Amino acid sequence: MRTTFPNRSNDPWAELARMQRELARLTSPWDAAPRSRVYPPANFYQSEDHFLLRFEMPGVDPASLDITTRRDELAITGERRPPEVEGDASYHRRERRFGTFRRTFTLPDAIDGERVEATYRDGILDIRIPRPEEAKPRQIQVITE
Amino acid sequence: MAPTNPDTDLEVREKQAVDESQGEATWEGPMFRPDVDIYSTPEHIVLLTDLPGVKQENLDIDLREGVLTLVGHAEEAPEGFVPASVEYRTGGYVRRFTLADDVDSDGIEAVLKDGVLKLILPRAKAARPRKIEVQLG
Repeated sequence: MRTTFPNRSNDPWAELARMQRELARLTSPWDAAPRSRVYPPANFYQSEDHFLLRFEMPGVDPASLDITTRRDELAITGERRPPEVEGDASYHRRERRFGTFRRTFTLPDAIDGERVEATYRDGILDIRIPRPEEAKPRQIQVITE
Repeated sequence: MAPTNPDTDLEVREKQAVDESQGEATWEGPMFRPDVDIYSTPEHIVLLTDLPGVKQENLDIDLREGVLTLVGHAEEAPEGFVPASVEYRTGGYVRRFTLADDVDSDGIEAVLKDGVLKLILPRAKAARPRKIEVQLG
């Protein structure tokens, strides 16, 4: 499953669509959140100099994660394993899901794999990707005479 | 259920918002009902609850009158970042459980690791099944 993040600053139509979604979300917070049925759910954030790809994946062994980058693509595979229970245990409720997963993301810019940092804490995986120098937003000074 | 995505055998379920309009408690921001597994053995009952993003200091476990209430809060977006694409909502978690009479409430153990809360509720000694040896007369 491929997920593409449009570059907000370079695509005015995508930006308009995003604003419409955001407005819909604000006016109807319970129904308008974008949905994805793909595991793990990912939120994508931007700052001036970084992208942040954040996943909710509680109870995943970080050693099972494999993160690779290639050009502007980032792929993640992993496994969420069920807990070990005693042999004489009987389940009353089973709502949590387990299994293997794989997702690929296309980012707005090329990724420098050497500078990507991934941390797993409290069941949240954060992948921080520095934005390339030339893609950072810039303030242009107006020169007056 | 057949997965919709050939790359993964896991499916995401939409977070379920908690309707507190009938209850007495009010919280700021959206609250969700966390997924839970419950299993039991002759010695104890175990609850495993997914609470991604909840740190120990933001988790409250309350037990009164046989009702166990879990309330947790997850962190919002990190400072300086703006959301560009959102697949899951953040907020708090709340869920209540009614405990069986045979739970020894003084012996409850709670461990929060990697966003999963494990609660071990020991059964009261008297309630454990016992094997009665038949003495030969």
